[in-house]
Amino acid sequence: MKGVFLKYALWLGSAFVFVSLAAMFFMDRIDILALVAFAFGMVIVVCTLSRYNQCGSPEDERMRKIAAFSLMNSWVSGVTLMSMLLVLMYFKWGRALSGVQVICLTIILMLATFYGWYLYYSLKGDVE
Amino acid sequence: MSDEGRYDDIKRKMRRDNAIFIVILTLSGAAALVEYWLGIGGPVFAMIILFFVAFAVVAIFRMLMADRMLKKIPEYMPDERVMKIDTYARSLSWYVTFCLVCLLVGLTAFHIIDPGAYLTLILIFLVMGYSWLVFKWYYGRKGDVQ
Repeated sequence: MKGVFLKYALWLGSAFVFVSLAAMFFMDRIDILALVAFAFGMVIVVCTLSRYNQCGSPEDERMRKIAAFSLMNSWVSGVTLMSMLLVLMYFKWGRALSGVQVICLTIILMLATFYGWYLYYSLKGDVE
Repeated sequence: MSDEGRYDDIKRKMRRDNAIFIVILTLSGAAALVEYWLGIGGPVFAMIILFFVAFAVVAIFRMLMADRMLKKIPEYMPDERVMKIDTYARSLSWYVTFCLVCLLVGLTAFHIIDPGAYLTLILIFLVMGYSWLVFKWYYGRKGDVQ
């Protein structure tokens, strides 16, 4: 029951975060309304993720392992994509991004890769 | 080559890749920050940054490949503890980076700082790398993640 509640809380928080980040990215400024929605979503996401990871005590060892491996793979994907973006920006290939847009893109990237890996491992059943 | 020889060879390569990764991360960060603050641009610095970033990516892939190679020798599987430490170090590093980026959103929103795209990216890149190394070192010394 607790696990199901956490899952829906994570989806709700993520929806708030993604929508507010998309708004900030396209407006290229941090609007107060978007910031409040982002902060609300972030509190939910961070609390839920810390529960999933190790700060809380999830009852399922398998799910805890899946969360840890998803975070790890998201980290590896993040480093690789960040370095690619750094090169692209340095050589001014593609669209020029502002600081706010880079921040939004990073959060979207980190969450999207985490959810991607999490879904993959959840559907697979285990991390092996 | 015997399994033991292969194992030692892989371990040596992993240690070397770790050292390369740390050196490249430090040098690329330093070069990028010097370039940013002093404004020494130009094709030479561009090549240096491209070189360092490319090597950082190669170092990560080589580390992952070495890990996969180790798994192919059943007698010399890396012990569960070491794998657990690495996994937790990277997941905590992800967590630290995530918190940093959220902090940046707040600071930028209230106009306390206004980092450009380039500086933001370098900061995130360096925090990701160093926090991973710090957590790995910390849990390695502690002996376990509990």
